[in-house]
Amino acid sequence: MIWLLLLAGAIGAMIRYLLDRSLPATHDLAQGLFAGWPRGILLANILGSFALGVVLGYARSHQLDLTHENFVHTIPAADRLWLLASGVCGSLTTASTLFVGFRLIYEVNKARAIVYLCSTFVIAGGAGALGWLMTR
Amino acid sequence: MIDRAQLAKFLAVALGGALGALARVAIDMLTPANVWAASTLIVNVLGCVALAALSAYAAHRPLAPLLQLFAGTGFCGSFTTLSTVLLLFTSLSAAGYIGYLLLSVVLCLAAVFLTHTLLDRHLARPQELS
Repeated sequence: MIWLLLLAGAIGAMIRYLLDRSLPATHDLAQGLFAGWPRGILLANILGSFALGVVLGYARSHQLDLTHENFVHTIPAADRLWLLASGVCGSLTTASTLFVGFRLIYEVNKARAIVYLCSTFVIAGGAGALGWLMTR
Repeated sequence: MIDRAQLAKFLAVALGGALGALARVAIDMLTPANVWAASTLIVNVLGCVALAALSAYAAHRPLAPLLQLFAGTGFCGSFTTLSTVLLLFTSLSAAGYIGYLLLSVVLCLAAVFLTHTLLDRHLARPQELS
């Protein structure tokens, strides 16, 4: 189980890294409020939240309890969902990069930084709720 | 084709990401099950301190790109999580959810700005001759 969790965490981080690399922050001022946004990180947070919503909704509709007290094998289906939730979605989404990114934008333009932070919470939160409602 | 330097970057992110996820889950399992939201808050604040420290350090001193990818993108990125926070509405009341989100934002921002301010001031001083 620990090895699978390591693998799941690595997969989530790799996807986030690939998104961040292909959609880096652009400092093109023509983009106005969107200049300097780490778009890849925003996308990773949206996708990861949506995926976690889907997983939690599916688990709920199938009466699967995903809480893990330890690494001991429980129910195979619940284990797989738990790996997706804690491993992949948990690693794909990030709070540290979000808030450190906020500070970097804030140094340049306060309003832009606040819009970035609020957008992340609203869009990623909405995506999570959508995923949950779709599968619940 | 992926060259070796590129492969090393991917491996640094993967290894850091794997360990970050394990550390997050380990902290989650060490905290009592009925207050699991508390472990997410702890993890996110600690991760914000660590990543802010890393980025402040990198702004003043040379930091190997692979170390930055391993510790920053990989470990801190995976250690902290946003999806778990945003999906807490499934287990908390509306007021509890809003309160939790606000508390997370305030504590994480305080962690990032405090760490950055303290370290930035410290690192900006001329290095002592050894």
